[in-house]
Amino acid sequence: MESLLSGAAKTYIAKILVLFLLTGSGLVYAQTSTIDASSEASYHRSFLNRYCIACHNETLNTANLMLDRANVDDVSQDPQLWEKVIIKLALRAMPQVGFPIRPTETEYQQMLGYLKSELDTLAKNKVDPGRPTIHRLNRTEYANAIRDLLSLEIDTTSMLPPDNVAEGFDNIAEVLAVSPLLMEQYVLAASKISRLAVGPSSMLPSSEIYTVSEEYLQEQRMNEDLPFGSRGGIAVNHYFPMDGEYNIRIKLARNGEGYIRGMRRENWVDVRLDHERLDVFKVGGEFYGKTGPLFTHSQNPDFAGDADQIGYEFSADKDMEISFPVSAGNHLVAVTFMDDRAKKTGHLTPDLMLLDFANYKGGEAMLDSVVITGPFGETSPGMTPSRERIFTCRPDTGTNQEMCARSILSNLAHRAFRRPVQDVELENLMDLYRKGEKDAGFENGIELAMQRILAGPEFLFRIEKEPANAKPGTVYPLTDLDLASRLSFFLWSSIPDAELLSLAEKGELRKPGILEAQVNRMLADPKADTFIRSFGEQWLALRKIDLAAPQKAVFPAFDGSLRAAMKKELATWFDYMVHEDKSVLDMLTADYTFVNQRLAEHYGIEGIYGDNFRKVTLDTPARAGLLGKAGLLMVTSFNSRTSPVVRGKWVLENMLDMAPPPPPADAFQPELQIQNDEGKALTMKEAMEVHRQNPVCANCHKMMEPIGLALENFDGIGTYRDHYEDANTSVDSSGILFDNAEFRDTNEFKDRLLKHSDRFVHTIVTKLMTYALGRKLEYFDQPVIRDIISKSESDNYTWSSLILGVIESTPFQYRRTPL
Amino acid sequence: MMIFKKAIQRRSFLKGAGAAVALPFLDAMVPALAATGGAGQRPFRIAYVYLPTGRIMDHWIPATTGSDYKLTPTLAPLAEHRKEMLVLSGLDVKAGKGSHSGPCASYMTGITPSKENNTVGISVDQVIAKQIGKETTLASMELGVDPPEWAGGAVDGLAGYYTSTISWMTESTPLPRQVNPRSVFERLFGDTDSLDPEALRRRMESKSSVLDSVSKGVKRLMTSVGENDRHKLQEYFDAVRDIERGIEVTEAKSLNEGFIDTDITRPAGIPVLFEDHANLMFDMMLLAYQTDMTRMISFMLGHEGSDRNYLELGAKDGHHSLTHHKGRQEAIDLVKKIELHQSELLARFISKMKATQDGETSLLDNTIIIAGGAHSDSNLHLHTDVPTLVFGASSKNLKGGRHIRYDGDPVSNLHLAVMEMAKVSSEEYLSEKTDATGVLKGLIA
Repeated sequence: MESLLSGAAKTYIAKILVLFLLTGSGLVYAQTSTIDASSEASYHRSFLNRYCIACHNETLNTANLMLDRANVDDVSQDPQLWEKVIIKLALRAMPQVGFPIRPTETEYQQMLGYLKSELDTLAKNKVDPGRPTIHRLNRTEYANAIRDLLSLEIDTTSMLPPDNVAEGFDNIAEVLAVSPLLMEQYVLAASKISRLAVGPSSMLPSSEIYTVSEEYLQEQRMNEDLPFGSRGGIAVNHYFPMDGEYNIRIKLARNGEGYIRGMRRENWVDVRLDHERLDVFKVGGEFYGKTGPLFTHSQNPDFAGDADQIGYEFSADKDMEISFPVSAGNHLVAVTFMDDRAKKTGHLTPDLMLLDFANYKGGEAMLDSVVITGPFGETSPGMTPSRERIFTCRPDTGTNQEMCARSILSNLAHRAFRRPVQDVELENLMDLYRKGEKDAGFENGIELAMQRILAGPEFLFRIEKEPANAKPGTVYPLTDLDLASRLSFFLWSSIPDAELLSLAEKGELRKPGILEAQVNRMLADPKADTFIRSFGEQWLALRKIDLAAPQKAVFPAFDGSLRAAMKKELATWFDYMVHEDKSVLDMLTADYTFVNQRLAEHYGIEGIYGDNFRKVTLDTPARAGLLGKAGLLMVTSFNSRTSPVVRGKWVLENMLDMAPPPPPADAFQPELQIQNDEGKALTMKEAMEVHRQNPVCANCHKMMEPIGLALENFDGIGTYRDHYEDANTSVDSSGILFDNAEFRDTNEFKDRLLKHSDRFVHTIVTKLMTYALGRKLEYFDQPVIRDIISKSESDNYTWSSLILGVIESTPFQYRRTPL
Repeated sequence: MMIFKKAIQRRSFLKGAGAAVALPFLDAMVPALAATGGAGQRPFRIAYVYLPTGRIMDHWIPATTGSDYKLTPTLAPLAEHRKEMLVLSGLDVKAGKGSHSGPCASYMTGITPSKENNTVGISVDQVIAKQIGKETTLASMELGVDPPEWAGGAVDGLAGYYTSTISWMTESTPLPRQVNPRSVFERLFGDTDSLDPEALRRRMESKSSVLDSVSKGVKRLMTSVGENDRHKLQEYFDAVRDIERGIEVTEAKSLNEGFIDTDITRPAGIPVLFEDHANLMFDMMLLAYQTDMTRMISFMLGHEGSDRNYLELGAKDGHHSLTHHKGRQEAIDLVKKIELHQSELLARFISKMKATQDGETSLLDNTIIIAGGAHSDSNLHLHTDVPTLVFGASSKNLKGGRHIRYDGDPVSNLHLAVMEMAKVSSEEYLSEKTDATGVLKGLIA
């Protein structure tokens, strides 16, 4: 052990040992049960002396907190410190479990009441709305802005790299940097998008490939865009850049050695454009000799099959292509298998994954990919929604041409820049237009100027106007235009629409009732789906569901359909609560969820058939609320087992806003011991106890682990269990929470957690504000959060009341100049 | 000026349509920027190929040193390049700390990451790019195969990107890696839709005018924002200037017009199969060198600690999970299979580099390729005696055909040797925090 610990860790251990000696001796504490009111010191000082300073003193400096030195009678000296203290006291997480004495409930409340009211008063007298820096549009915002500006629905995510994440979100201005690579990609994207939006006058054919994840066994109807009675395949919303002839090439899935899967029998491949059938291909079931074994292991070829048959099995899909004329714009292309098999009652468990699937060539034929190539033949730009949107006028004579271009470009720039366009800016655009027009005509001129708009800093950056010559530290209200942008980027992750922009330009946005009406209108708009996706997915770690990789050997039940269902459940559930304007507290308790057949089977809910998600009432309390959702339980697990540490940390961080500090530098991270010294398997709880013996780790881990262990009834993919499979032992989910409350099982744990619902609301508002402002929150934002919460109390903390609270708050409406 | 080869047309009888339609057999469009000149005058190129998540070392390091060593099983696919290959052992990532993320960040920087400030140091490829990059359209390229999202959350208190990149432009700017071969192609040669040289010239000119106008716009904005906000716009302005510089370089080179013979075509996207994907990225590297679009490329064959599933090799668990084999033979065998597979891909790339004419010699002669990683035994997270191969650079008198064993020298010393060959000053690399102790000896003979 000696050699594994750094110097810092050793010092830390020494401190802990001192602490044990102190608390063990019992000398520090008076034997009375309450604070001594007769003492010279104030009540609050006595509170600290009695409950806190044994660890948080100048000598030990535990957690860098010296409460013996801090002036509790004048919190203005260090508001940041007292906000930290509030978090721990509000959760009753200090003194820690095991400390010999704890404050009474009255003492807690008295101390908290004092600190909060002092800090809130302080904040009222010295307002600081903070200062988000210049904000580059992130990838999502960029894509949405293109959609709203140009009516162009294409996948821009492949054009730009993902953005850096801070504070749990990818829209934090501080870390949205610009590198040369990113800039090149912006320029390239601007040129591609402009060409597609304006509509190219001619273009070379190009190919787009769409592949099906090999995680899907393609035994069921894959989604609602595919025909009934189909199985497997893919549906894509492809953007056809011009009117013309296009070609679809279909490739089937092959096993590890190149054999097309499922060629022993006939398969019918159905190809559709906008739900209309284009063609049906027959593939498989032809024999040109004897076929080889189902497991095509090249190392051991007793008999690989006759050469002609092998040739067929390698290339049976070679002629699966079709060409067809189509108009420019988005069209739904669906390629799927006609399901002629007898209807099965349940879904098929992917047992094959357990076998040597890589070398298996039997089973069902599966789609590998679809390549769409074009345009060919006679092409023309056609009339797409983008062209309709852009070309609001058409030039007929030479003189009109300039006026028309000016009108088109000032319209576009106005929306793109989210403010009136300056004359000099419009002149710059017109210069480019003229250059492009001279080269290749009117539309080319518009395209060139549009490239400039889309690659330009006025579009890519949100820059908030500052009053001229203001003194450092001046607090000023945002202009109505900047407020409109903040609103639309918060709720839509996009640019303001015409209505919002026009209200802002007329200076009416802040008139009574207008802002609230706009917020309600915006939340009801389908564009608010991005708020669900962007905020919800990031807060609830939904994006990680795509990346989770449960080991097949441990979780044979896991496959792509289950992954997709887990994600859809959480997204639908969250979407429902926001749209139905439920109380945010429903996230802790809701006894309803949304399932399809696949997920229902995973949850043990009977009577649900098909792929559609529907609302069901849960009769198992363990599944209720966020902590019963399989997706969340999976992303907080390792790929072969649960992790009480990760789960506990997630709950502390994302539900109670009390992130434990990162492990000390170079702390030795031990492999989890899964057996005792005699070779007997340990339960997770026993293993955690062994693991926690390192005193460096124990301090924080004893807060995280009981939470994670309380969720041990759910395995690494969220399956409910009473017993461990391998240890043949029942799951013990009892424990002691950080607030010293004991619980016997998952359900009791959830009840205990409910006692901290005030912190849960606080956490949600914290996340909402971080996301809305695009900056890290500071101690001076805490009084604002408390204010939003108290105003929302009468509405029982509905989503809309909290969202509106954030929007009406000072940090959202104001900004200050640099200090 | 760029000249493109005419797209190769393929006629294909379409079963469904019952009509003959001309299909492009993926448009083979490659700009002709081949410079002229004999050996010695040819530009010197540098490639770092990162081998992620360690190797099974007793299948990697040859038993004996010198020129008559016996190739180990994992090196066997490289047998045909034995003459151009140096096997180096006994090199350590000295600055490496912890598992995966720490050593990965130290691999090309020679510096231990600071968790407090979230900083490391400039990496060797970026030191080189800064100095020789001015002569090419792109100063450097950073390529990969694993999407950045795979890097996930923090390990050892270091953010996900510490395992998804090895390139650091400054101590606080990790460079993202391009993983889509199609976007690499378009970055190199533009998203062109015309073969008409006049149209291409106009396109280039248009791009310049757009950037020029963008520069004006950002300058205008900079006068109206506060001091604090200006640095963001400055970043943007610098990036625009960098692209403009690239265009100027390209235009200056257009005097040497000509065609390049290649069978590489514009990729349609990211292939599903790792092998196809990796080969395409290697092809893009070859193409970039061949057309002298850049001379400094680093390519990660996976994130450090990547848990990619090699189902096609019969591996049901991810690579990283398998490397924690705890001695299980079955897992070890699968890891060996994955490593062998990567050696084969590397061998194919070396073959192509060798077969590509570059002036009077081959491209490989004028390129140094370092293939290595920051872990040796990944089961134990060792970052000592890390796997290292060096190829090519005969124009710089690098002498292959040998296995050299060092005594715990830092990998950074190899970087110093690379910089010396590239005639690049290592001053910026050698901050006081570096683990480098001096140019690695013995490569040249």
